[in-house]
Amino acid sequence: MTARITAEIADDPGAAVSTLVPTPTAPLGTEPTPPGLPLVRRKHPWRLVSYALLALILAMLANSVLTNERWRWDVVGEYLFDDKVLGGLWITIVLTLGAVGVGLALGSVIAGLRMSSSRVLSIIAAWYIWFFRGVPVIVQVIFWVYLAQLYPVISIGIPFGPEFAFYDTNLLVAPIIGCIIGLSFNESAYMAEILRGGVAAIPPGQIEAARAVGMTPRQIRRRILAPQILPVVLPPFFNNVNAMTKTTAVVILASVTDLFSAVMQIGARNLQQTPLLLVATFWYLVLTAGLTLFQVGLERLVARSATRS
Amino acid sequence: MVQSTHTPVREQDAPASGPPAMVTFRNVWKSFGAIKVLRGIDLTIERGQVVCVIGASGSGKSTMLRCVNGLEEATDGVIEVDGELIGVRLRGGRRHELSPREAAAQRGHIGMVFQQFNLFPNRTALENVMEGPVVVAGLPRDQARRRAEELLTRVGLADRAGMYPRQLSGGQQQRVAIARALAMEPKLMLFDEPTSALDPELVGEVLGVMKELAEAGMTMLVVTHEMAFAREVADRVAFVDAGRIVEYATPAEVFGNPTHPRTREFLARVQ
Repeated sequence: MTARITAEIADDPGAAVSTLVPTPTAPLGTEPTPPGLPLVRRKHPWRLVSYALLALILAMLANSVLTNERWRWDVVGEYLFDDKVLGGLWITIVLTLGAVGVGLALGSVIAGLRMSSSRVLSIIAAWYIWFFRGVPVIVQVIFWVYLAQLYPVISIGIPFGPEFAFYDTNLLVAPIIGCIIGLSFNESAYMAEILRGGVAAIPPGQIEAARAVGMTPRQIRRRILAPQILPVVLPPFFNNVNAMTKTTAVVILASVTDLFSAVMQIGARNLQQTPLLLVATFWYLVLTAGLTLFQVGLERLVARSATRS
Repeated sequence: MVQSTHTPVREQDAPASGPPAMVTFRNVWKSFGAIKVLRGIDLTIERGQVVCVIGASGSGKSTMLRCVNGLEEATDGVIEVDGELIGVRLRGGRRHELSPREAAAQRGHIGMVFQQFNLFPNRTALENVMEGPVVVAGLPRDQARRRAEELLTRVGLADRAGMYPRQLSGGQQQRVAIARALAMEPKLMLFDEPTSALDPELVGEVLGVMKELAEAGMTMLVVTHEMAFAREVADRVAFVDAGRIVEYATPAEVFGNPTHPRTREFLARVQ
């Protein structure tokens, strides 16, 4: 390369820039003409090599997956729309929406406390976040599902005073409710931090300007913070929802039949575990693809209203 | 004239002899941690007066301004705006903090313009101006819209109403910010270095709007580095040094015959 460049310069004797680029000729007042020196982009020959290499690897993978009969694509096809699988898929969706919904509501409160001017409230919220992010989700879920082992009866009454209503814990906290509670507490800690990050991203001048026109703290939260936080928190929020879609699989230990535990149960019977895991994989990918499309649409909508151009 | 005696802080309003001054600082102190930013500010601004505050960076000018609408809370002393104590209520020799709602209501009557404009980026110029009247004053949207359009016309931006802050130049953004402050029909306007973040060729358009506002009789407290503006428009100039007003007089006196050595030093540096 360098050799060629020097050669070209050598080809052009007296190649002073001044002769290559004519000095401005147009006198002031007349329309100037550009010198007409086209720019030649650099070539990237190694890119072609990398394309070829990637194509080769993909072809090898496809060939192996399609010709090796032990993948049992026939079993995958057979169970893809199996009733038990679709029932599990539904439970996975319910668990995800429940955990994200409750987690977001609870997380907003925790974020508010965390950012409170009261040091006591802020520190309590920080401990809450530490605890519910720190304890493994699987432990939290099992704790709520087996709550009856600790508290067989739940009663409502005046603290340290008389009680007037009693409920059997096992009836009140059905396994799926226990799972949603466990997942929600964990999720709320993450949501609180996502929201706090969103508020931190808003320039303080925005809040000052809102205060200066006479807005109350509540009006500032709703009119200034909420709309401006949205584009900031959407990516981490959906990151979390995506993760939660698959985290719900921990409910297999609480005898709730979600997508994952449905395929594991079928696999345990017909000993075709791998093809059945492919069935679950397919549906998890469909769910997360749907989420991604929703996220892209929402981000576009928010971006349009915020006109960040 | 250097003010050396502090006006006493009284719990009741002084017996009415005409309307009260628009702004009265009574021995105002402000510390950030161990740093004393304001060390006993006394200042009275009459109705319709334009007061420019000048001084070196870090002298406390901006803090002084921000205390007037309660964006900063004075560590000691009080500020009255139109006869009303800002942010506090005096009882038993103590200053009792007002509720957020009460404090917000006071700020609604005091317009403020910031160095960095601080327009709401997700709203158009028109919506920025409408925001206060609609949300704070509860004005119907069509009325707020009409008022906002009039104000944008007044600052020469009628044709930019539908644009977002990002699409406007710094000078245009600052003029929208002035319109936004005026939309609340303030009795007092605070300007915190309104032209310091502007390209030099855009300073004039903002100062022009401010001058018109002053001529229309608005009471204005302006922290600025624009000495020519202060000289031309101000009724009084306050020179602040190390948290104190060391010189307070007409522009002609401050610029022509400064009495304090710190003022002379400062003016020699900026002129």
